[in-house]
Amino acid sequence: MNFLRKFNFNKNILSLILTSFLSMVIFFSNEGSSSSRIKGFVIDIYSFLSQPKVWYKDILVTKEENQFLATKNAQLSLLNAQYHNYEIENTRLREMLDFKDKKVFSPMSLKPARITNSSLSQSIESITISVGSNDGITNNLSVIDYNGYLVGKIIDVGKNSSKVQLISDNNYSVSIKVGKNISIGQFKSTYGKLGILEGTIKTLGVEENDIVYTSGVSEIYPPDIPVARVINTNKKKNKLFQDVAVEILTDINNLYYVFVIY
Amino acid sequence: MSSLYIKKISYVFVTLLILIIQINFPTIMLFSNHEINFNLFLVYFTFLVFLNNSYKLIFYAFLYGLIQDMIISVDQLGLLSFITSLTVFLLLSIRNYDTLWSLKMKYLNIFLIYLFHFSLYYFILYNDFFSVILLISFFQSFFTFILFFIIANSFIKIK
Repeated sequence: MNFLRKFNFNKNILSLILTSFLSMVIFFSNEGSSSSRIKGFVIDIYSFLSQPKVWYKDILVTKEENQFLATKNAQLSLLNAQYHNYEIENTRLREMLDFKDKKVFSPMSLKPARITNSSLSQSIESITISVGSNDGITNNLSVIDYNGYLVGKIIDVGKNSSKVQLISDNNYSVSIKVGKNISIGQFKSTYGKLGILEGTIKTLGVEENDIVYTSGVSEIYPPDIPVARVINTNKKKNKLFQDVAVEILTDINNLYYVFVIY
Repeated sequence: MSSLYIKKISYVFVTLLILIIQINFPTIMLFSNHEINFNLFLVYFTFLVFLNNSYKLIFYAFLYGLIQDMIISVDQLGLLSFITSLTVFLLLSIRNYDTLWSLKMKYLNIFLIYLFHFSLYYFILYNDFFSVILLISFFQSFFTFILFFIIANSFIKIK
Protein backbone atom coordinates (compact mmCIF):
# COMPACT_ATOMS: atom_id res chain seq x y z
CA MET A 1 0.00 0.00 0.00
CA ASN A 2 2.81 2.33 1.01
CA PHE A 3 4.72 1.47 -2.12
CA LEU A 4 1.65 2.20 -4.25
CA ARG A 5 1.18 5.57 -2.58
CA LYS A 6 4.84 6.44 -3.09
CA PHE A 7 4.67 5.40 -6.73
CA ASN A 8 1.58 7.52 -7.24
CA PHE A 9 3.31 10.50 -5.63
CA ASN A 10 6.31 10.02 -7.90
CA LYS A 11 4.07 9.92 -10.95
CA ASN A 12 2.63 13.26 -9.83
CA ILE A 13 6.12 14.73 -9.46
CA LEU A 14 7.20 13.36 -12.84
CA SER A 15 4.10 14.85 -14.47
CA LEU A 16 4.80 18.21 -12.85
CA ILE A 17 8.43 18.18 -14.00
CA LEU A 18 7.35 17.29 -17.53
CA THR A 19 4.65 19.98 -17.70
CA SER A 20 7.04 22.56 -16.21
CA PHE A 21 9.61 21.68 -18.84
CA LEU A 22 6.97 21.98 -21.58
CA SER A 23 5.88 25.35 -20.18
CA MET A 24 9.46 26.53 -20.29
CA VAL A 25 9.86 25.36 -23.91
CA ILE A 26 6.66 27.21 -24.84
CA PHE A 27 7.84 30.29 -22.94
CA PHE A 28 11.04 30.47 -24.95
CA SER A 29 9.48 29.65 -28.33
CA ASN A 30 6.88 32.39 -28.12
CA GLU A 31 7.97 34.27 -31.21
CA GLY A 32 7.81 31.55 -33.88
CA SER A 33 5.48 31.80 -36.89
CA SER A 34 3.83 28.46 -36.07
CA SER A 35 3.19 29.75 -32.55
CA SER A 36 1.46 32.83 -34.03
CA ARG A 37 -0.69 30.63 -36.28
CA ILE A 38 -1.79 28.44 -33.36
CA LYS A 39 -2.53 31.51 -31.24
CA GLY A 40 -4.60 32.98 -34.08
CA PHE A 41 -6.55 29.74 -34.39
CA VAL A 42 -7.24 29.56 -30.63
CA ILE A 43 -8.34 33.23 -30.58
CA ASP A 44 -10.80 32.49 -33.42
CA ILE A 45 -12.37 29.58 -31.51
CA TYR A 46 -12.48 31.62 -28.31
CA SER A 47 -14.12 34.50 -30.12
CA PHE A 48 -16.76 32.15 -31.50
CA LEU A 49 -17.47 30.64 -28.05
CA SER A 50 -17.81 34.09 -26.46
CA GLN A 51 -20.67 35.12 -28.77
CA PRO A 52 -23.37 34.78 -26.06
CA LYS A 53 -21.49 37.17 -23.77
CA VAL A 54 -21.03 39.66 -26.59
CA TRP A 55 -24.76 39.39 -27.31
CA TYR A 56 -25.97 40.03 -23.75
CA LYS A 57 -23.36 42.73 -23.19
CA ASP A 58 -24.58 44.42 -26.37
CA ILE A 59 -28.14 44.44 -25.05
CA LEU A 60 -27.05 45.82 -21.68
CA VAL A 61 -24.94 48.66 -23.02
CA THR A 62 -26.86 49.64 -26.16
CA LYS A 63 -29.11 52.25 -24.51
CA GLU A 64 -26.32 53.83 -22.51
CA GLU A 65 -24.02 53.83 -25.50
CA ASN A 66 -26.67 55.34 -27.78
CA GLN A 67 -27.06 58.26 -25.40
CA PHE A 68 -23.31 58.69 -25.20
CA LEU A 69 -22.87 58.53 -28.97
CA ALA A 70 -25.73 60.98 -29.56
CA THR A 71 -24.07 63.48 -27.19
CA LYS A 72 -20.70 62.84 -28.75
CA ASN A 73 -22.16 63.29 -32.23
CA ALA A 74 -23.61 66.68 -31.28
CA GLN A 75 -20.30 67.76 -29.75
CA LEU A 76 -18.36 66.63 -32.81
CA SER A 77 -20.77 68.42 -35.16
CA LEU A 78 -20.16 71.65 -33.28
CA LEU A 79 -16.43 71.04 -33.29
CA ASN A 80 -16.51 70.23 -36.98
CA ALA A 81 -18.25 73.51 -37.72
CA GLN A 82 -15.61 75.29 -35.69
CA TYR A 83 -12.80 73.49 -37.55
CA HIS A 84 -14.43 74.35 -40.87
CA ASN A 85 -14.20 78.02 -39.96
CA TYR A 86 -10.61 77.54 -38.88
CA GLU A 87 -9.83 75.89 -42.20
CA ILE A 88 -11.23 78.83 -44.12
CA GLU A 89 -9.28 81.21 -41.94
CA ASN A 90 -6.13 79.11 -42.28
CA THR A 91 -6.41 78.99 -46.08
CA ARG A 92 -6.86 82.76 -46.18
CA LEU A 93 -3.84 83.32 -43.95
CA ARG A 94 -1.73 80.89 -46.01
CA GLU A 95 -2.68 82.78 -49.14
CA MET A 96 -1.66 86.02 -47.47
CA LEU A 97 1.72 84.51 -46.50
CA ASP A 98 2.10 82.84 -49.91
CA PHE A 99 2.48 79.33 -48.44
CA LYS A 100 2.74 76.38 -50.80
CA ASP A 101 -0.11 73.89 -50.52
CA LYS A 102 1.21 71.06 -48.49
CA LYS A 103 -0.91 68.29 -47.07
CA VAL A 104 0.32 67.60 -43.57
CA PHE A 105 -2.19 65.04 -42.39
CA SER A 106 -3.45 62.08 -44.32
CA PRO A 107 -6.84 60.79 -43.20
CA MET A 108 -6.67 57.60 -41.15
CA SER A 109 -8.63 54.51 -42.15
CA LEU A 110 -10.44 53.07 -39.16
CA LYS A 111 -11.84 49.58 -38.82
CA PRO A 112 -14.44 49.32 -36.02
CA ALA A 113 -14.25 46.21 -33.84
CA ARG A 114 -16.23 44.78 -30.96
CA ILE A 115 -14.48 43.52 -27.86
CA THR A 116 -15.06 39.84 -27.24
CA ASN A 117 -13.32 39.62 -23.89
CA SER A 118 -14.48 37.14 -21.34
CA SER A 119 -14.09 36.05 -17.78
CA LEU A 120 -11.81 33.18 -18.77
CA SER A 121 -9.14 34.92 -16.77
CA GLN A 122 -8.36 38.32 -15.40
CA SER A 123 -6.22 40.08 -17.90
CA ILE A 124 -4.69 43.49 -17.72
CA GLU A 125 -2.45 42.62 -20.62
CA SER A 126 -4.73 42.01 -23.55
CA ILE A 127 -8.20 42.06 -25.06
CA THR A 128 -9.67 40.13 -27.97
CA ILE A 129 -11.47 42.00 -30.75
CA SER A 130 -13.81 40.84 -33.48
CA VAL A 131 -11.74 41.64 -36.57
CA GLY A 132 -8.99 39.52 -38.07
CA SER A 133 -6.98 38.81 -41.18
CA ASN A 134 -10.20 38.47 -43.22
CA ASP A 135 -10.78 42.18 -42.51
CA GLY A 136 -7.26 43.13 -43.54
CA ILE A 137 -5.87 43.27 -40.01
CA THR A 138 -2.18 42.57 -39.51
CA ASN A 139 0.19 42.63 -36.55
CA ASN A 140 1.38 45.93 -35.05
CA LEU A 141 -1.61 48.06 -36.04
CA SER A 142 -2.66 50.72 -33.52
CA VAL A 143 -5.98 50.47 -31.72
CA ILE A 144 -7.92 53.49 -30.41
CA ASP A 145 -11.22 53.92 -28.56
CA TYR A 146 -14.17 56.07 -29.69
CA ASN A 147 -12.64 59.14 -28.06
CA GLY A 148 -9.55 58.64 -30.17
CA TYR A 149 -7.40 57.64 -27.17
CA LEU A 150 -4.74 55.01 -27.64
CA VAL A 151 -5.81 51.54 -26.43
CA GLY A 152 -2.91 49.37 -27.64
CA LYS A 153 -1.62 47.47 -30.63
CA ILE A 154 -2.45 44.23 -32.43
CA ILE A 155 -0.12 41.39 -31.45
CA ASP A 156 -1.85 38.21 -32.72
CA VAL A 157 -4.20 37.85 -35.64
CA GLY A 158 -6.72 35.08 -36.29
CA LYS A 159 -9.04 34.88 -39.30
CA ASN A 160 -11.94 36.64 -37.62
CA SER A 161 -10.46 37.97 -34.40
CA SER A 162 -7.28 39.47 -33.04
CA LYS A 163 -5.49 39.98 -29.75
CA VAL A 164 -4.63 43.52 -28.66
CA GLN A 165 -1.82 44.27 -26.23
CA LEU A 166 -3.27 46.87 -23.89
CA ILE A 167 -1.56 50.13 -23.07
CA SER A 168 -1.82 49.10 -19.38
CA ASP A 169 0.42 46.05 -19.88
CA ASN A 170 3.71 46.34 -18.00
CA ASN A 171 5.69 45.45 -21.12
CA TYR A 172 3.99 48.09 -23.23
CA SER A 173 5.99 51.04 -24.43
CA VAL A 174 5.31 53.83 -26.92
CA SER A 175 7.27 56.83 -28.15
CA ILE A 176 5.49 60.04 -27.13
CA LYS A 177 5.69 63.81 -27.23
CA VAL A 178 4.54 66.12 -24.48
CA GLY A 179 4.50 69.74 -23.40
CA LYS A 180 4.79 73.09 -25.12
CA ASN A 181 8.34 72.33 -26.28
CA ILE A 182 7.27 68.97 -27.75
CA SER A 183 9.59 66.92 -25.60
CA ILE A 184 10.10 63.40 -26.94
CA GLY A 185 10.05 60.52 -24.47
CA GLN A 186 8.87 57.00 -23.86
CA PHE A 187 5.60 56.03 -22.17
CA LYS A 188 5.65 52.96 -19.94
CA SER A 189 2.77 51.55 -17.96
CA THR A 190 3.34 50.86 -14.27
CA TYR A 191 0.09 49.77 -12.68
CA GLY A 192 -3.56 49.97 -13.72
CA LYS A 193 -4.22 53.37 -15.26
CA LEU A 194 -0.89 54.78 -14.18
CA GLY A 195 2.34 55.07 -16.10
CA ILE A 196 5.58 57.03 -16.36
CA LEU A 197 7.38 58.97 -19.06
CA GLU A 198 11.00 58.05 -19.54
CA GLY A 199 13.63 60.21 -21.21
CA THR A 200 11.89 63.55 -20.73
CA ILE A 201 14.70 66.11 -20.41
CA LYS A 202 14.52 68.34 -17.31
CA THR A 203 14.95 71.60 -19.19
CA LEU A 204 11.83 71.03 -21.26
CA GLY A 205 8.67 72.21 -19.57
CA VAL A 206 6.12 69.57 -18.73
CA GLU A 207 3.18 70.61 -16.59
CA GLU A 208 0.35 68.85 -14.83
CA ASN A 209 -2.67 68.12 -17.07
CA ASP A 210 -0.54 68.27 -20.21
CA ILE A 211 -1.72 65.69 -22.71
CA VAL A 212 0.78 63.11 -23.93
CA TYR A 213 0.54 62.26 -27.64
CA THR A 214 2.19 59.60 -29.78
CA SER A 215 5.27 61.10 -31.41
CA GLY A 216 5.02 59.31 -34.74
CA VAL A 217 8.70 58.36 -34.45
CA SER A 218 7.92 54.63 -34.49
CA GLU A 219 6.41 52.94 -37.53
CA ILE A 220 3.59 51.40 -35.50
CA TYR A 221 1.78 54.44 -34.17
CA PRO A 222 0.66 57.41 -36.24
CA PRO A 223 1.47 60.79 -34.65
CA ASP A 224 -0.87 62.81 -32.41
CA ILE A 225 -2.92 60.05 -30.84
CA PRO A 226 -3.71 61.07 -27.22
CA VAL A 227 -2.13 58.57 -24.82
CA ALA A 228 -2.16 59.93 -21.27
CA ARG A 229 -2.45 62.98 -19.03
CA VAL A 230 0.41 64.25 -16.85
CA ILE A 231 -0.52 64.00 -13.17
CA ASN A 232 2.78 64.75 -11.51
CA THR A 233 6.30 65.93 -12.38
CA ASN A 234 9.42 65.76 -10.27
CA LYS A 235 12.85 67.18 -11.09
CA LYS A 236 15.72 65.74 -9.06
CA LYS A 237 19.09 67.47 -9.01
CA ASN A 238 21.18 64.38 -9.65
CA LYS A 239 19.11 63.20 -12.62
CA LEU A 240 19.32 64.21 -16.26
CA PHE A 241 15.68 63.40 -16.92
CA GLN A 242 12.61 64.43 -14.97
CA ASP A 243 10.19 61.95 -13.40
CA VAL A 244 6.79 62.33 -15.02
CA ALA A 245 3.82 60.35 -13.73
CA VAL A 246 0.88 60.04 -16.10
CA GLU A 247 -2.62 58.60 -16.16
CA ILE A 248 -3.83 56.64 -19.18
CA LEU A 249 -6.71 58.43 -20.92
CA THR A 250 -8.66 55.46 -22.21
CA ASP A 251 -11.07 53.72 -19.82
CA ILE A 252 -9.87 50.14 -20.24
CA ASN A 253 -12.57 48.61 -18.05
CA ASN A 254 -15.41 50.10 -20.04
CA LEU A 255 -14.38 49.40 -23.59
CA TYR A 256 -17.03 47.83 -25.83
CA TYR A 257 -15.91 49.02 -29.23
CA VAL A 258 -12.52 50.05 -30.53
CA PHE A 259 -11.08 51.15 -33.86
CA VAL A 260 -8.07 49.66 -35.59
CA ILE A 261 -6.02 52.19 -37.58
CA TYR A 262 -4.84 50.67 -40.86
CA MET B 1 -14.44 -1.01 -21.27
CA SER B 2 -17.51 0.74 -22.63
CA SER B 3 -18.26 2.38 -19.27
CA LEU B 4 -14.69 3.77 -19.24
CA TYR B 5 -15.27 5.11 -22.72
CA ILE B 6 -18.53 6.75 -21.64
CA LYS B 7 -16.72 8.23 -18.63
CA LYS B 8 -14.04 9.77 -20.85
CA ILE B 9 -16.64 11.18 -23.23
CA SER B 10 -18.55 12.67 -20.30
CA TYR B 11 -15.35 14.33 -19.00
CA VAL B 12 -14.73 15.93 -22.40
CA PHE B 13 -18.34 17.05 -22.58
CA VAL B 14 -18.31 18.55 -19.06
CA THR B 15 -14.98 20.28 -19.77
CA LEU B 16 -16.37 21.88 -22.92
CA LEU B 17 -19.52 22.92 -21.08
CA ILE B 18 -17.50 24.52 -18.26
CA LEU B 19 -15.25 26.25 -20.79
CA ILE B 20 -18.27 27.80 -22.53
CA ILE B 21 -19.81 28.83 -19.18
CA GLN B 22 -16.49 30.26 -17.97
CA ILE B 23 -16.03 32.29 -21.16
CA ASN B 24 -19.54 33.72 -20.97
CA PHE B 25 -19.75 34.13 -17.20
CA PRO B 26 -20.39 37.72 -16.16
CA THR B 27 -17.81 39.55 -14.10
CA ILE B 28 -19.17 39.88 -10.62
CA MET B 29 -17.54 43.02 -9.29
CA LEU B 30 -15.01 45.70 -9.97
CA PHE B 31 -12.26 46.27 -7.50
CA SER B 32 -10.05 49.28 -8.16
CA ASN B 33 -10.00 48.70 -11.92
CA HIS B 34 -9.84 44.92 -11.49
CA GLU B 35 -12.54 42.55 -12.50
CA ILE B 36 -13.02 39.74 -10.03
CA ASN B 37 -14.92 36.61 -10.90
CA PHE B 38 -15.30 32.91 -10.21
CA ASN B 39 -12.61 30.66 -11.61
CA LEU B 40 -14.86 27.74 -12.57
CA PHE B 41 -12.02 25.64 -13.90
CA LEU B 42 -10.10 25.74 -10.65
CA VAL B 43 -13.22 24.51 -8.87
CA TYR B 44 -13.68 21.84 -11.54
CA PHE B 45 -10.10 20.65 -11.11
CA THR B 46 -10.53 20.51 -7.34
CA PHE B 47 -13.53 18.21 -7.71
CA LEU B 48 -11.71 16.10 -10.27
CA VAL B 49 -8.86 15.68 -7.77
CA PHE B 50 -11.30 14.35 -5.18
CA LEU B 51 -13.26 12.22 -7.62
CA ASN B 52 -10.38 10.93 -9.71
CA ASN B 53 -7.00 11.00 -8.00
CA SER B 54 -4.86 10.69 -11.12
CA TYR B 55 -1.59 12.25 -12.30
CA LYS B 56 -3.28 12.78 -15.69
CA LEU B 57 -5.06 15.77 -14.16
CA ILE B 58 -1.73 17.64 -14.15
CA PHE B 59 -1.52 17.31 -17.94
CA TYR B 60 -5.17 18.22 -18.21
CA ALA B 61 -4.52 21.39 -16.17
CA PHE B 62 -1.47 22.14 -18.29
CA LEU B 63 -3.61 21.98 -21.44
CA TYR B 64 -6.23 24.28 -19.98
CA GLY B 65 -3.53 26.73 -18.79
CA LEU B 66 -2.04 26.71 -22.27
CA ILE B 67 -5.38 27.63 -23.83
CA GLN B 68 -5.70 30.49 -21.34
CA ASP B 69 -2.14 31.54 -22.16
CA MET B 70 -2.85 31.66 -25.88
CA ILE B 71 -5.90 33.81 -25.34
CA ILE B 72 -4.65 36.35 -22.82
CA SER B 73 -0.86 36.25 -22.45
CA VAL B 74 1.28 38.71 -24.32
CA ASP B 75 4.86 37.87 -23.42
CA GLN B 76 4.35 35.22 -20.76
CA LEU B 77 3.14 32.32 -22.90
CA GLY B 78 3.55 29.21 -20.75
CA LEU B 79 3.09 31.00 -17.44
CA LEU B 80 -0.52 30.00 -16.83
CA SER B 81 0.06 26.45 -18.04
CA PHE B 82 2.85 26.14 -15.47
CA ILE B 83 0.86 27.74 -12.64
CA THR B 84 -2.27 25.68 -13.34
CA SER B 85 -0.39 22.37 -13.47
CA LEU B 86 1.47 23.30 -10.28
CA THR B 87 -1.84 24.13 -8.58
CA VAL B 88 -3.34 20.79 -9.57
CA PHE B 89 -0.19 19.05 -8.34
CA LEU B 90 -0.65 20.74 -4.96
CA LEU B 91 -4.33 19.83 -4.93
CA LEU B 92 -3.41 16.21 -5.68
CA SER B 93 -1.00 16.24 -2.76
CA ILE B 94 -3.97 16.78 -0.41
CA ARG B 95 -5.07 13.25 -1.31
CA ASN B 96 -1.89 11.90 0.31
CA TYR B 97 -3.32 12.97 3.64
CA ASP B 98 -6.81 11.57 3.11
CA THR B 99 -6.75 9.57 6.29
CA LEU B 100 -4.85 12.13 8.36
CA TRP B 101 -6.60 15.40 7.68
CA SER B 102 -10.13 16.35 8.61
CA LEU B 103 -12.44 17.95 6.07
CA LYS B 104 -11.85 21.39 7.61
CA MET B 105 -8.11 20.98 7.23
CA LYS B 106 -8.60 20.01 3.59
CA TYR B 107 -10.77 23.08 3.02
CA LEU B 108 -8.10 25.29 4.55
CA ASN B 109 -5.49 23.74 2.28
CA ILE B 110 -7.65 24.19 -0.78
CA PHE B 111 -8.13 27.88 0.05
CA LEU B 112 -4.39 28.33 0.58
CA ILE B 113 -3.63 26.62 -2.73
CA TYR B 114 -6.12 28.93 -4.48
CA LEU B 115 -4.42 31.90 -2.80
CA PHE B 116 -1.02 30.64 -3.93
CA HIS B 117 -2.32 30.16 -7.49
CA PHE B 118 -3.63 33.72 -7.84
CA SER B 119 -0.78 35.34 -5.88
CA LEU B 120 1.84 33.74 -8.10
CA TYR B 121 0.02 34.80 -11.26
CA TYR B 122 -0.50 38.41 -10.17
CA PHE B 123 2.96 38.61 -8.65
CA ILE B 124 4.55 37.76 -12.01
CA LEU B 125 2.23 40.16 -13.84
CA TYR B 126 2.70 43.17 -11.57
CA ASN B 127 6.22 42.54 -10.17
CA ASP B 128 5.62 44.89 -7.23
CA PHE B 129 2.58 46.46 -5.53
CA PHE B 130 2.41 43.68 -2.95
CA SER B 131 -0.66 45.03 -1.18
CA VAL B 132 -2.61 45.12 -4.45
CA ILE B 133 -1.44 41.62 -5.37
CA LEU B 134 -2.47 40.25 -2.00
CA LEU B 135 -5.83 41.98 -2.02
CA ILE B 136 -6.79 40.88 -5.53
CA SER B 137 -5.49 37.37 -4.93
CA PHE B 138 -7.42 37.12 -1.68
CA PHE B 139 -10.71 38.20 -3.27
CA GLN B 140 -10.19 35.90 -6.25
CA SER B 141 -9.41 32.95 -3.98
CA PHE B 142 -12.25 33.78 -1.65
CA PHE B 143 -14.91 33.84 -4.38
CA THR B 144 -13.54 30.71 -6.02
CA PHE B 145 -13.42 28.91 -2.68
CA ILE B 146 -16.99 29.99 -1.80
CA LEU B 147 -18.19 28.48 -5.07
CA PHE B 148 -16.30 25.28 -4.35
CA PHE B 149 -17.68 25.17 -0.79
CA ILE B 150 -21.28 25.63 -1.94
CA ILE B 151 -21.01 22.87 -4.53
CA ALA B 152 -19.12 20.58 -2.15
CA ASN B 153 -21.84 20.97 0.47
CA SER B 154 -24.86 20.69 -1.78
CA PHE B 155 -24.17 18.69 -4.94
CA ILE B 156 -20.95 16.71 -4.84
CA LYS B 157 -19.97 15.52 -1.39
CA ILE B 158 -16.25 15.20 -0.81
CA LYS B 159 -14.60 13.33 2.01
